[in-house]
Amino acid sequence: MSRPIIEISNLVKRYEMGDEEVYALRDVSLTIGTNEYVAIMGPSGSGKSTLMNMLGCLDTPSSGTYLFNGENVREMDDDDLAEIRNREIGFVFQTFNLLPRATALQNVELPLVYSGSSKEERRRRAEDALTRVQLADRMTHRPNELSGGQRQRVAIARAIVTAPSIILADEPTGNLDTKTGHDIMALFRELWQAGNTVILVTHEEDIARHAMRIIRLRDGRIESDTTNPDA
Amino acid sequence: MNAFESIIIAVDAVRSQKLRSGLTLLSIGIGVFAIIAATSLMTTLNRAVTGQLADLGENSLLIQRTPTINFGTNWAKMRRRKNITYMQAKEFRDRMATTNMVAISNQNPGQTIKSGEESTNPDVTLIGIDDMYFTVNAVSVSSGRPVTEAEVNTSRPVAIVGEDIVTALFPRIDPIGQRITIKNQTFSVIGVLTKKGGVMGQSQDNRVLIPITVFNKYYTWEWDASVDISVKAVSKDMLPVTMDEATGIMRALRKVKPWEENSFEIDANDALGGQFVGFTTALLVVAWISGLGALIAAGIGIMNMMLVSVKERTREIGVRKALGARKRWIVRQFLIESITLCQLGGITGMIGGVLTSWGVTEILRNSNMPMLMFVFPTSTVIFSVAICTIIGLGFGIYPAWRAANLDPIEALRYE
Repeated sequence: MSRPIIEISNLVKRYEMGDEEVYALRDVSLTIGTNEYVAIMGPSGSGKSTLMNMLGCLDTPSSGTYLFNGENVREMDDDDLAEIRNREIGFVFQTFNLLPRATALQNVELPLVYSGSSKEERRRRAEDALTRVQLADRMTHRPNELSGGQRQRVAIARAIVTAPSIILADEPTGNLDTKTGHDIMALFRELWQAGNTVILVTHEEDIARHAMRIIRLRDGRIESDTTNPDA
Repeated sequence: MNAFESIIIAVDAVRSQKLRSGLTLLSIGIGVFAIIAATSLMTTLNRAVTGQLADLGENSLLIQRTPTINFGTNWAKMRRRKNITYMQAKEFRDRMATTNMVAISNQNPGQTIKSGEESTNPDVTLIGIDDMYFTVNAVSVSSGRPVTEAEVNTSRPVAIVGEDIVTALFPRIDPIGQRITIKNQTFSVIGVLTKKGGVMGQSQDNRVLIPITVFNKYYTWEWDASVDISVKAVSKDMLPVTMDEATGIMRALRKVKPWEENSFEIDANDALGGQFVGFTTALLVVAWISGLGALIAAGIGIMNMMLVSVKERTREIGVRKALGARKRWIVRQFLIESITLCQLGGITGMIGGVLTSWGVTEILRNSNMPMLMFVFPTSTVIFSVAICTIIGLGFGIYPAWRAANLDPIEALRYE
């Protein structure tokens, strides 16, 4: 197996709801290496979203360990987490989450703004990323001037512009029609073939089938972790 | 992201919410307007009045064509009064018997004094004087010498400068013997006025004295302009006698018929100046309190608007945080936004305030107060910019802090 990026062991996430304690994740252990293509599946309430938030360093575990490239996420404060998200993780959301008043180029530049890159470098890298998702001719368009598929491509360009360790996509085709969804999945495959690590979170079997490895969650535990026979 | 980009984002946010931002900006604008307009007007009035009154020492009288302070007097009647010409004033001086301390002067505020590359602010009061000016008004020189009678009679281009001028133009060299230029006329400096300090924030040292004969040639509003006459009685007891004599001579010179009232103003220089300053100070305090009140109300408006803005942009904040924005970036973005809002309103109010006070000054000057000269309220403008920044910071910090501390997961899920 390739060098591990994500090493999770005995991870627990507990929420306090009044006097009650709710377990979103109970004892999850998981390793994901470089250039893997993983789908995380599960019905709602399975802990899928919580696991995604953990993997994306948006949240920290209640107990257990989470090493990201060897760094212990559990001990990080908000600003450390912001930095690791900026540097290591490219998010792709179901609802795209582009800034509506910014152009495609400005949207893609945003993560580089937070990493402190120079204006020229930001521009160059954002243009490269948009070219990679075949939007070189749409750089100055605002989100409302783009189709759903194009918006998601802008979001993907934004996710890859920092050359992150993982691309974390949460139901990336959920708001797209089947045809456009397939195009987007083809793009993820391309990115994976180019050496990226891709983690999909989805509840659709069709989408999960694109991945090489499928992890199924139920009731906060890993139910199965298999290599995809169809891929 | 530099501050400039944050300002662009802020202006963009303002544009996207025209009505809401407009109302908030308006309230800031009103506060700044009140402060600027009131301060500027009062400074202009005070400068005119204290400039004329504060010089006069004890036991002295001031004779002028029109009163310095003119509340509710008949302006049309005042305007018909003939000028007290320099010739008439000299005739008056020669006829006075109970005292020989009579000084003739005229002044023009708002001058710029230059020397080589250096130049003062355009707020120097230029006073045309004769040799008696020093005695009558208890003015002295700390170095050099006063103006002589011969210099007045032969219109010599000599000048005596106040300490403020020395500080501005000759910080390191002896001013005596230096040349200064006022509206293209060159003067040699022969003396420096003894430092007097300020009255109501207006420096008594920010002035230049030149012979009145030269003054009348180049620096008056009209040909043969009206001059001011100050008379000093030999003692306090003699003041009423001198006043009667001065009134009689002026009436005779100006051919006032026995049944007519005086066609000039004659006032003992007592509490008049103090009253006026007290009056304007009270007005100023009221204007400042209401202006600051408006600004605080506006600040609360800003805070409310920023809180709504944070709420509406919860998702945007979530996205920014997911993409790696640290807390201080978010704080900074919202702070710059609230400061920009305040400044936009402040600048509007500032322009309105300056234009209004300028307009009012012009109207007053054209009606009956020719000595008024609009003074640009530099320090108040700086103060307004500062207070707008403080309000933007003070009332923006809580919304910005709220934004920065949003949970990114909750924020991303926000509809």
